[in-house]
Order: sequence, then structure tokens, then C-alpha cells
Amino acid sequence: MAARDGDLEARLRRLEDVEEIQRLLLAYARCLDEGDYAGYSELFTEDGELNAQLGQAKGREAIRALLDRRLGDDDAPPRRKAFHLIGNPTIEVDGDRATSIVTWAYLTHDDAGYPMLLQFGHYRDQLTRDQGRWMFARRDISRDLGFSPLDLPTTDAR
Amino acid sequence: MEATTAIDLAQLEARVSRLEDLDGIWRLFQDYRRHLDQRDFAAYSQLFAADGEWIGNLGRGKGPVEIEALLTRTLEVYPDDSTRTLHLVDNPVIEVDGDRATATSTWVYIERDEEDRPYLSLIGHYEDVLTRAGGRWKFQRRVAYLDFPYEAPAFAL
Repeated sequence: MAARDGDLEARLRRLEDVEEIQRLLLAYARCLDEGDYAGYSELFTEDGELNAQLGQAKGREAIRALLDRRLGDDDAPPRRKAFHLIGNPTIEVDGDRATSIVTWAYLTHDDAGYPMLLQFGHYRDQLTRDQGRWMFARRDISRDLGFSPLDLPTTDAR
Repeated sequence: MEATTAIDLAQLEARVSRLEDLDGIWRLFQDYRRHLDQRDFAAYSQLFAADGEWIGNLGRGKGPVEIEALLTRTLEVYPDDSTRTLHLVDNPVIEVDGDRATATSTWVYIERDEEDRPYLSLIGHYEDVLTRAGGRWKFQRRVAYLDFPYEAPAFAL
């Protein structure tokens, strides 16, 4: 009976892990869209790695500094400039490690204020359970299609 | 007390199994869209039961061999990464009943325009009957509805 209990506990744990990792994926998008780069950096392990189109960084401090430098805008009005839509999650859990592949879409608005799909790509993640909490040990971001606002010489409505 | 514990454990096992089935079926949906986006029609066709059916605007096929042939005949293969497209699958509603299940989900097809910008090209939904075969979930029947712009599925062919 003890063995069956243990087996069931492990199966339930895996399902809980998948659910918790989905929360992490959404927390990432929320921090990014709200400009909470401190919160964003805390989703990574202490020595976590970010490889993105806006740059590369290793460690929470470096990740936060990178986002502040590339995305920070003290004069920005308190309204959203973009939504990251997170979809197609595929999550594989293996004990205290996991991998995930996720589609991201970057939705913003054109000059007239209408929604516009500007770019999308994929996240490829290595995740670690650190002190009971799932975090990104490494996140590689690819853009498959579209344009980054960072690439554009002007802010015309692309 | 022993008996009560055993019964609770069986109920608990059934609840965990249901959640595992929901997770397994979601993985099936993701394998489907990934093989489709990667144009791996052989792997795609293996997601169907031996007598599984695909019905949609491309036609219909029964069994992996027919389904693979249908996609090979009707879908272009990307010459390179710069022409790649993507399916986003969401809004899953899945009902499990033993070794069978039914599900609906939404699909959005994203393509690139002539200036390389992404745009929502097509939107539709899937209506599925699923079956557990050899310990894993497969499509017994998938009807792929194309809602915008509407095109009737090939039920009658």
C-alpha cells in the first residue's frame, strides 16, 4: 500500500509541477507587459541565463540591468504598450528539472489604436526547482516572424 | 478503517488519472500542431488511430496512410524557414470517459504578408473524438472546421 501511495504522490506531483510551470510562463509575460523588471529577474535562478533579441545576460542582477537599459522608460504613461500572448505550451518534467517550449505572440497597436500582431516566436526553457519554486535556469528566445519595436528606426505602424 | 483508506485511494487514483488524461490529450494537440507546422506528415499521421479519421477543408482521410497522403497532396512544404507559418491552439475543452474522450479547441493560423509581417490568416475550431490506444491518446476522429473565412468540411466526399 505504501508503494502505491508513493506512486500516486509522484503522479500528482508531476501534474502540480506542470501547472506551476504554466504559472511561471504567465508570470513572465505579466512582468514584461507591466514593466516590472525586478519581478521579471526574480523568475530566474540566481545564475539564470537569458538569451533574447534585446541581448544576453547571466544572473538576476545582469538580467534586470539589461531590461532596464533596453526597455526602461521612466516617462512612459501608465498604460500598456503591448501584450505577450503565451500559447502552445509543451512542458516535460523530470524530477527537479524541466524543459518547456512555448509560443509567444507580441500584440501591440497601430497609430490609430487598433490591435496589431507585430511579431511572434518561441521560448525554449530549462527550468529548475529552486527552494521549492520553479524558475528559469535558462531561457532562449527566438523570433520566427515579424519585427521588433527595437529594430525599427522610427515608431511607424508596422 | 483499512477499507475506507483503500476506497479513498482508488478514488484518488481515478482523479489523478483524469488529470493525466487531460494533460495527455493536450500533449496530443501540441504534437499535432507541431508536426503540422514542421510539415512532418508521417509523424502527424501516427497521431491517428488505425481507423482514425481526419475531415476538413483539405478533404478527408481514414487511417494514417490515407491521412499522410492527403496532407502530402494538399499542403505545400516550406522551401526554407523564411516561409514558415504557425498554428496557435487554445481554448481546449476536454471531457474524458474511460478510454474515450471528446474535445473542442480553437485554432488560429498565422502567416506572413508580402512585407514579412505576421497576420491572422485563418481561424477555426476542432471537434475531436479521442481514444486511448496502446497506453496513449490518439485521434479517433478530428473534424477541422474553417470558420473564418468559412469553408465546409469534406464530410460528403
